[in-house]
Amino acid sequence: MAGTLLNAFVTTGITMSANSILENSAILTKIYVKPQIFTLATAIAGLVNFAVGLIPLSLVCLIAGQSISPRVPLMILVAFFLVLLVAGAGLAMSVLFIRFSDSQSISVILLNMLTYVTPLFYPITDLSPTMQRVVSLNPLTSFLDCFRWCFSGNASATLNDWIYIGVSGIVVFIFGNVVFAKSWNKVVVMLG
Amino acid sequence: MKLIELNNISFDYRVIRTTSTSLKELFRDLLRGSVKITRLKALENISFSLESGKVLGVVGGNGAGKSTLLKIIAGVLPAQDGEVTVKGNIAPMIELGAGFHPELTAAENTIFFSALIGRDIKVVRNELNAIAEWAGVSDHLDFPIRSFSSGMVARLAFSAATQERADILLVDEVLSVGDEKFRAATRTRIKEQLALGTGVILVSHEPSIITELCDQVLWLEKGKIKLFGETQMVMNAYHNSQMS
Repeated sequence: MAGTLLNAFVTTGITMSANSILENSAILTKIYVKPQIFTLATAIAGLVNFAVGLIPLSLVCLIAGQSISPRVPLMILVAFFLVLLVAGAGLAMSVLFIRFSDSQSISVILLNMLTYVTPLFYPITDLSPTMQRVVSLNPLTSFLDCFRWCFSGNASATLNDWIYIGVSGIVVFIFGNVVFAKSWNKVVVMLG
Repeated sequence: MKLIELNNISFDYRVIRTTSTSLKELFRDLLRGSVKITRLKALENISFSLESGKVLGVVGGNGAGKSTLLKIIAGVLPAQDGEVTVKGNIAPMIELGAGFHPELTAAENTIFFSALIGRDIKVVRNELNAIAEWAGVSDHLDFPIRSFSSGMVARLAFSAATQERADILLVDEVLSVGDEKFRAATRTRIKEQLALGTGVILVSHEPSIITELCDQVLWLEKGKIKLFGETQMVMNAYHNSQMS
């Protein structure tokens, strides 16, 4: 269930962040505002929903007899890097959303594929060694381990996992900003 | 003091000539080699400057490049060639009500819009009653903007944009909206700001407004300067071209 919460934040967060530029096109074509603000604000707003979702998750854990880990405050780190990842991916995808109307439906398929290579509903040990390596390369696997470790101690998060979520969050954020900065002047005219 | 200086500004729209905005169909057309990219010139070699306390009128037919010019000055669109120098803060009124959210109240929208154009929110909060009073919506400050008429939205947006003096006002057809009382009030407020040194760029299709307010007029045609100079001279030529 913890994984579902994290996955919902990532998939809906990326889609909504990518869509935020289109949704605010009426502002962006009339008033000079840094467009990246809308993407980042949407990612942070998704984080609020994520935090609210922790309340029923905590209740279910307590009812099921699981304890909440004292490491919960460390989730701030996980959340911080998640926001960077979501905002960065959203920024990069927003360029496609503006240019191609069908890219939103294609993104749903890609994000579904990302969900299936994240060990949400299956233990990673059930997979073949090759698939285990593939799933381990997915940053969301490390995010999930760190999140579960912080929340309920129900997983092991290694130092490598923490480094991987930090690096992937920062790299995706920088990548998204670079792609957006290079493309914005070309796509802004398509906003009308 | 020169508030705005444009040197040989050009802007063109890069258009992919496919009938669809579909990613799948673009791939198909790329494989067929049938994708053609054309550039549509929206502005070509535009140069002028605006001094503080002066009004520059911009006239021209539909598609002449007037709104594109304002958007480049506002920083919304990038100038692809040439140089744009802007000194001071801009209050853009390219469309009254842009940035207003229908579900937010008039007070919330005023604060949000003011934040977007770089105003100090603390100051705006203190001026909320004055903004609403000028717009004639004092009794509706806590109502969602969706319950407002388009005229009320226009009055509130204009009031919010001009409550504090801006160095530069960009006005696109705004003085032609609303009833006669509102139009007179907007002209009075612009004159008040001019007296304080604000520079105004005014786009309008109404010759009477241009003649009343502008010191100079820029006549655009198909993205190029057709004529630029003293108001009466340019407006006479523009009027004659419209009649012929």
